[in-house]
This record gives sequence, C-alpha cells and structure tokens, in this order.
Amino acid sequence: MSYTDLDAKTVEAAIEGEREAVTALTEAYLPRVFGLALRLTRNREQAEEVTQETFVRALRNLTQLKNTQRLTSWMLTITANTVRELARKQRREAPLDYEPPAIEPEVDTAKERRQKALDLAVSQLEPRDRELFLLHTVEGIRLKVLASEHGVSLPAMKSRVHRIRSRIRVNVLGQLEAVGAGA
Amino acid sequence: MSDDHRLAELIEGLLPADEAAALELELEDDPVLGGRRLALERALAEPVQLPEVPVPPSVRWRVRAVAEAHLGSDVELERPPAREELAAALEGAEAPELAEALRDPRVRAELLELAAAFADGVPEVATPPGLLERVQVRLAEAGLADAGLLAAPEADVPPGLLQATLERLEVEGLVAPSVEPPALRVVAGGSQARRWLGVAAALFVVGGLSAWVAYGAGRRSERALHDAQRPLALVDEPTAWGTPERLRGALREAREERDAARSELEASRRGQASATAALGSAVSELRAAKAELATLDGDAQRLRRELAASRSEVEVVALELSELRATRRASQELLARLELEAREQLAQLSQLATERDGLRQQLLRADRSQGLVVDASQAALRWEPGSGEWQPVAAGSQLPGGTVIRGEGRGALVVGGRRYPLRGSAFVISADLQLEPLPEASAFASHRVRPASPEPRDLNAKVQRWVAELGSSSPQVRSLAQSRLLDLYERFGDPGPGVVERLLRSDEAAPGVPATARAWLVWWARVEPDAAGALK
Repeated sequence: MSYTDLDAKTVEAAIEGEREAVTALTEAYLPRVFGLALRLTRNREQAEEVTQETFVRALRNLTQLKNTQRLTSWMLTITANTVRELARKQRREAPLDYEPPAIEPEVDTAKERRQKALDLAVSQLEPRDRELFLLHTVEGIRLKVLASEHGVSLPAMKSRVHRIRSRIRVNVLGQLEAVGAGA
Repeated sequence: MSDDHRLAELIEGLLPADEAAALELELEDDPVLGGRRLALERALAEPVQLPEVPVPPSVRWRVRAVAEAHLGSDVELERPPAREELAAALEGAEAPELAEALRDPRVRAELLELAAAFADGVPEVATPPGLLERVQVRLAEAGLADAGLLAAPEADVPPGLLQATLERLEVEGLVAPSVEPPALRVVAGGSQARRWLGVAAALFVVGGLSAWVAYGAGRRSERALHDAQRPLALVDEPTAWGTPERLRGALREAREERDAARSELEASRRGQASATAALGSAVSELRAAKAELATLDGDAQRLRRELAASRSEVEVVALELSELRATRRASQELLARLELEAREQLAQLSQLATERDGLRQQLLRADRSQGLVVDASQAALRWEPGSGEWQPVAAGSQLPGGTVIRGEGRGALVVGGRRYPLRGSAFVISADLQLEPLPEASAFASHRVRPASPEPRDLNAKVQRWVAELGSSSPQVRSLAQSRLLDLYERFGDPGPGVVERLLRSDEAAPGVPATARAWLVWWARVEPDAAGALK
C-alpha cells in the first residue's frame, strides 16, 4: 500500500492504535521514509537506523498528531530531524555507500534519465541544501513548515530553496547533456 | 555567472526586476537562449520525482517490529527467519554434501531466494529451471560422488521406480511447500547418483520450508532452526535401498512420523497461542505498572519539591518570628525604660508642681498682703468702711482684697501697665486680686436677688455669717464677706497661734491672711476676745 492510498479513516484508526491501521500506515510510509533517509545520509546502515528511529518516534507520538492532513509532512520532518541528530551524534563521518543509479542512455526512458540525473544532482548538494530540496521540492513540504523548523523567516527560506532549485536545474541539464541526452 | 545560471535564476524568480527584464529581451532576440531556458525548465519538471529506492527486507522487518512493539505484541514469535539465519540453518544441516554445494554462490543465492520466498509466505514456489542440475554439477565437481554418493553400493532399482516414488511423494504431499517434510531417509548411489542429486536438491528446499515452519511453531532461537534441519539427510543408510515394499514401509514410517510431527506442531502452536496471550497480558500489565510507577514518581517528586518549598517557607517564617520576638523584647525594654524615665520625670514634675504651688501660694499671700498696686487712677473712688465715705484712689496706693471701688464718669484704674475702665460701676477686689463688678442696688429687685439679711448686731455672729458667705455661689456675696473679714483682720491683726494651737492645728496655725473659711474661723477664735473687749 502506498501512502497515497491511506484514507483519513485509516490514519485515525492508526492514531487510536488499531493493529491493522498501524501496520498499513507503517508499510505505506516505509518506502518514502527509507528513501528520504537514504538520500539524506547516503549510507545504508544509517538510513536503516534512521528509518527505525523515525517510526519509533512517529508511533510514540502519533496520538499527538492533531491534523491528520499533515501526516506526510510530519513523518518526513521527523525523518529529517532524526538524520540531523544522528549526524550530530556520530563522531566519524559514515562512508557513503549509496550512490544514485547511473544513467543508461540506451535503456532508460527520458523520464528515467531525468530522474537519475536529478538523483545524482541531489546527491552532490550540501547536506543542508539536500535536506531542504528533498523535503520541499520532492516531498512537497511547505516552505512555511520548513521555515518554522529551521527558525528562519519565510522569505529567507523561499529564497534559499529557489537558489538550490536553480543550481539543480543547471546540474541536471549538464548531466543529461554529458550522456548525450538533453532535457 | 553563466547564461544557464542566469536563466535558472530567472525561472526561479531570483533575478532582480531590471535584470529579469533585460534577460527577457535577450531571450526574444536569441532563440538558442530560449532553447536553453526550455531545457532548464524541463530539467526540474513538476512534479519532481526521484527513482524509487527498494526497501531491504531487513528494514521492513525491523520497522514492522517497531510497529508491533508499539502495539504491544511480541514480534519475535511471528518473525520469519532472515535470509542470513536461513542460510546458516541450511548450512548447518546434516548433509555435508549440501553444505558443499552451497559454496557455489549461484546455487546458494538461488536456494536462498527459494527459502526467502517460503519465509515471505509465498504459497507456491517453483524450482528455478536448471537449479537442480547446477547442484548436481557442483557436487560432482566437488568430488562428492566419490566421497558419499557414488561410493554407495549398486542398488537394484527397477526402472521407473524413482519417478513413481517421486510422484507418490508429491501425492502424499511430502514435497509440497506447505507441508512439513518427514524425516526422510533417501538412499542413492551408483549410476543413479546424478538423478538422486536432483531429488536431494528438492528435498533441500523442503528442508528449508520445514525449518521455517518449525521456527514459526515456537522454536524461537536460531538453534531451533538448526534442529529443524535434522529431518533432512541425503545419505543416511546407503544399503537400505531395497524393494518397493521396503520403500512403501519407509514411506509409511515417514508418514507416521509426519503425522506425529504435525500433532506435536499443532499442540505446540496452541501452547504458543496461550503463551502469547499470557505474554501479551503480562506486557500490558507491566506497561500499566510502569505508567503507574512513572505517575507515582512524578507525584513523589512534586511532593518532595513542595515539601522542600514548605520547609524553606517555615524556616523563613521562623526566622521572621525570632526577629519579631527580638524586636518585641527590645520594644518592651525600651517601653519599660521610657516608663521608668516618665515616672521619674513625673515625680520631678510633681515635686516641681508642689514647689510651684507653694511658691504661688507664697506669692499670692504676698500679693494679698500687698493688694493691687495702682499705677495711676482717673476718677476712681474706694469705699472706706471706717469713715463710711468714698475716697479717691491715689496713684501708688495698694488696694487689698475686699476693697470696693467705683468710677465716676470715665473713671479708670491702671494696674500692672493695664488700664481697667470703671466708668460709673462699682467693683470689689476679690481675694485673688481680681476686679469683680458689683450689681447696682436698683438691679437687685429686678434680678430678684434676695437682699441680704440684716446684719446681726453681734460681731461674732457677723463674723460667722461672713465666713459662711465665703462659700456662697455668688461672687458678689463672697467678695463682700471677704472684704469685711479683711477689714477685721487689718483692724485686729493676728497674734499668731499659741502652743496648744500649734500642736493641734499645724496647717491653719501659720500666721498671715487666712485663705480658707476654716482658717478665718481659727483666726477669729484667736482674736475674738480682744475684739470683744475693744468693741465694748
């Protein structure tokens, strides 16, 4: 089940602690949480750890979620916060054992090529910029929420995210052109 | 900044208005630049998506464990073995030939896929094509045919028996993935060894399944998984292979063992279910107890804090109380000291007042003896009782108490620097040397003042009457009586008290003008004999 298939009733049932609903919610958000964690950490072991910790925190505080419409942004914000906390706790930088899949011009469709180029461009961002780009542009978290999380004004956050997007555009186009496939 | 960067910033709305306008103009003129803009726009086409990341089974199971723990159940009982656990279990089987075969990574991977498929609950698993052959080849390469399988003695196996046996096994459900395998004893050897290897591989898969089922039945440790592998044995009794009857017997035994294992498994599952329920209940109780304990801890901490605060408040209050007591003691001491001083001062004041009264009395006596000293007079007359005439008051003369004066016209007296107008009124000088007006004789009737009773002819009776009039409420009567007594006093003087009188009346015995009625009577008793003689 995808997170988009979760209806409000299931989410409310999960908040009430019903087994089936909790299981459905967990499985629905697992790919998204793990994907975000992996792209933020670029380390599989850390991503697994972050994913578990995210679900521990989410399930522990699920009853405090007032607005079920914000479940997605809530889960992903927890993921990003957990990644940040893990990075602070770890003295040594973990090896980067996750690399985005390479573009295969002969096999990949145009959409796949663009997605892979984007994945690579995202992986080359600074961690903080990567987090903002993934949360806002990819995961759709509102700038207002991000501004609040990072303690900056909305215009400042907006300017920062758009600069990142600007750099991403140039990078993606460059990669696509490098493999002989334009955007 | 390159054109691409400028265009990207234009797309993102980051360029200032003037730069954006200039770039728009360039875009109109330069189609290449316009193409770059389109390409950059497509590079981040909405909705922005990234390639999906496959979630490893380990993450899935761990997250599921998190959810189960959140729900309060014990996922260990339901967790299927991880791939590594399954591999370790398979390699720990009592078939060294299979362990050898598993060293081939391709064979190992494919078998693990099969085992994982069982673990994930796939109902039917098809053996990958060529897998059995690869296992056979690998075993042959490892020389295992010489060591175990090929060394077995030739068996007289009827043609087609093996195939029939396999079919029978399938009919019996002994090789189906959903059924636990019996403790099979398969014999192979000789020229049929390669074919038997295929059977061995199939049974290996079944062994993996039985391991999972046995694991799920409640053998929770990895060790249990090893134990579950024990039914799998490729070559147990190499010489046991015999007739179809023997094979049927073996199959019957296997079936009985299977049934026994199934019964045991079902019993074990029931026990597991009850144990799970009991464990769930215990976990719930433990959580409730923990929550209660946390609440109690919180209450205890709050009470400790409140107690500490109360203690400090009590200490503060006690301190303030001791300060107040000290202050009160000091105040009491100060009050006592002030009271003592006040008493002393009061005593001194009283003594001074007594002295003052004495001095005043002496002064009054002196004044009375002297009378009013007239600084100047103007048409002022005094009554002379002796001559019975009004005589002018001369400046410098003294007017003793009891003197009656009056003015004529604008008559006045000046005494002590102060002018007292007399006009035509009559005044008497009181005992304390004050001018007190006398009523006109004509006003007595109008004021219904009772006229004085006629004076007695007896002087003694007169004196007694004058002394009595000293206590009258009328100041005029008192002044007149005082004046007459003073006249007698001036006439007869005061011989002073005798010895006996001094002893009896020490207070009234002092010489001088009597100040009280009693003193007048004492004085009169002293001078009456002389007065009576003189008047006769």
